[in-house]
Amino acid sequence: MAGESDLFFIEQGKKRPHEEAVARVVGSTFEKMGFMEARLTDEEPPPSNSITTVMEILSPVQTRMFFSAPEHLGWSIAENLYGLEDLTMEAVGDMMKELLNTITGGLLSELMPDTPFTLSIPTLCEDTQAGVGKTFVYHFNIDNKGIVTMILCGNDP
Amino acid sequence: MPMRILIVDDTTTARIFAKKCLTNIGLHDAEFMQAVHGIDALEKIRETPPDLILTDLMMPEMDGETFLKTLKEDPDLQHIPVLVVSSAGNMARRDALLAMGALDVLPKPFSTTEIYDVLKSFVQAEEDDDGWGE
Repeated sequence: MAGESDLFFIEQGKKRPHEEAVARVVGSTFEKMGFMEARLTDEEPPPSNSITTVMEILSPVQTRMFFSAPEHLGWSIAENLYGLEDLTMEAVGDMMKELLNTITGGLLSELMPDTPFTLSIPTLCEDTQAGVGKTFVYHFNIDNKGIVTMILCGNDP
Repeated sequence: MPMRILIVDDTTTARIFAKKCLTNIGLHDAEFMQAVHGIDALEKIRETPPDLILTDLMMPEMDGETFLKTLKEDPDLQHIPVLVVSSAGNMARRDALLAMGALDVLPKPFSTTEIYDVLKSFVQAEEDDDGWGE
């Protein structure tokens, strides 16, 4: 279990700290909410228009998480999750925010099961402006339909 | 008389997903109400009291914890069961929410099996020939 100030640094030296926990939480979220498989991959998504959401972890650590998906994949995930085809961009953005919220809460619950935490409300953003600190990037292949990106920002400058 | 269920969450996705899960576990005849935060929920509850409430924790205006506390302090409303469904509901928070009167705390993401295990008594009551609330 991670300490309070070193949530993403307890496994220093690793390219992707807490890789198994992140993979488990993202996999479970996609499986339960969208009946889709999310597989951790070293592939990077090709350049495309993306939908990106961000949320802050306010306590016990101060850090930030981003979640990004190519637009076409965002629509595809939303169709699966809602079970509808006549979606709007607003609905797709709303779904991206809920996925990030669920993944972030799930990850913190797994890494710090006995520690209360506070999160901000997720919002849409233009880009993954990570800010200060080290960042860790995780890509997930979603049902071979495309790649989503999760970015965890560390809190050391 | 169909069971009336209020889903309180600020995201449309979460409300749709919760409704889909409740329908899948057998509550397809229930009447669903929706609210986007605690204040909205309290207004709707005072107008039309539900038989069961599902609420998120992190919401603007009034969060789920304040909503639960307000509801459980109101003698006219405190009998309504409240299931907390939240990504912020880890074990550390769970005990406090149960002490405040929550029926249970279910972390997101949850499966239909997991929500059925918590709500099976409601499903059985709904399936009962005598109906709900009669």
